[in-house]
Amino acid sequence: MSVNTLFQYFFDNHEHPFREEKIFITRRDGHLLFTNQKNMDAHSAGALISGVWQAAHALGHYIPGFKMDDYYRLSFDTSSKGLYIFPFLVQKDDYYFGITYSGKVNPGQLKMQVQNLASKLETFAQNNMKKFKTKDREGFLFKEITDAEMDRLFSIQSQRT
Amino acid sequence: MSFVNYHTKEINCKIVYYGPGLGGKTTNIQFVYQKTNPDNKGRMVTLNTENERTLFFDFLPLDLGEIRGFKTRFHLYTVPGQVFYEASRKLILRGVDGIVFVVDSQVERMESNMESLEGLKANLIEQGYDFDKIPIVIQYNKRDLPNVVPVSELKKKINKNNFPEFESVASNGEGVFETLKMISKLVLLNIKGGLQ
Ligand SMILES: Nc1nc2c(ncn2[C@@H]2O[C@H](COP(=O)(O)OP(=O)(O)OP(=O)(O)O)[C@@H](O)[C@H]2O)c(=O)[nH]1
Ligand SMILES: [Mg+2]
Repeated sequence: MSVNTLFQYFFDNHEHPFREEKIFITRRDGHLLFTNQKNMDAHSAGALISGVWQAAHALGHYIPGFKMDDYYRLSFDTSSKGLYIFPFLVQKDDYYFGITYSGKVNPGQLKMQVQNLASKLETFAQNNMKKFKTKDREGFLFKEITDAEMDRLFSIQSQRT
Repeated sequence: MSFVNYHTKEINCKIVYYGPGLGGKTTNIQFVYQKTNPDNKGRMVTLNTENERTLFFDFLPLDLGEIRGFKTRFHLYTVPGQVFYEASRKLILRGVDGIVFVVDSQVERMESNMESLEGLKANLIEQGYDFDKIPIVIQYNKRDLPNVVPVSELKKKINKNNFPEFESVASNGEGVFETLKMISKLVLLNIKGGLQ
């Protein structure tokens, strides 16, 4: 199943109001599945979004009557800028919609827009999952990997000492 | 769990550095960060205490370039080694594809090494992994110190499974890339799902 292709397709084909904001969609293990950012730092943001959500979730157990069925979301904000994380489900798996924003007169409105978009995404995923499901593939992707291939991957080391 | 996108030809994998407190996990990925070309890395995230002990995790995204047309990306994490951070270690292990177990070679740390290894085993089993099947590389670190346990003895005590193993001095980078290269290879070879 290629859920990141599905997310990409969704954003390619749906208008949304987040032109200035940074969007990161991650799954529980910290993998980034969609972003509107171009650089590698987005992956660091993705890992942190999953991490901060899970830390908050662990803390949730100190809240009297805590049940995850209640709708929790996470905000880290001032009156005009911040970070907002909204969880959603696709086929029983958790995903986190993270967004950073600034210069907002009414951040409450932005949060509502996030919730709407996440729920559209959820519905879209439910309806289109089949289309994006990749066939189960047998065996391993690589049968062997040569030393030369590994050396090439590790040419990332800078030559400076 | 790694994910492979056959459409965009991308591979994403998660490697976790595990081991006792102060063993040198953070030092490993700091060295990788310092020695990697700017184009191949993202921002390194460190969530630590005032005295530089890992509190939640370290994170470093690496872009390794292509193998047979697949863009390869590795996410490196370290866990906090201190005993009372067990809950964090469990969270960070979620979806792991390969583990580097960093051993502190000093005589007085043997018990901590064993304890951490047992913890790793228990946590992996709890998450449905098979300890004998998941890629693991053992790194005997701090080989520069005077009071270290001989490698032959470390092998017997810690590496009963005969995982690939390396000696290292993470603080000067010795053995760091060798270890990473080996775990990367094992992880890549372990990705399920052949090409049709
Ligand atoms: N002499 C020596 N010191 C080392 C070596 N590797 C790491 N250190 C030092 O050991 C200390 C602890 O290293 P860290 O990398 O922070 O250890 P850690 O495993 O991340 O520790 P936690 O975050 O508490 O789990 C630091 O002062 C390092 O400089 C080594 O190979 N030799
Ligand atoms: Mg550390």
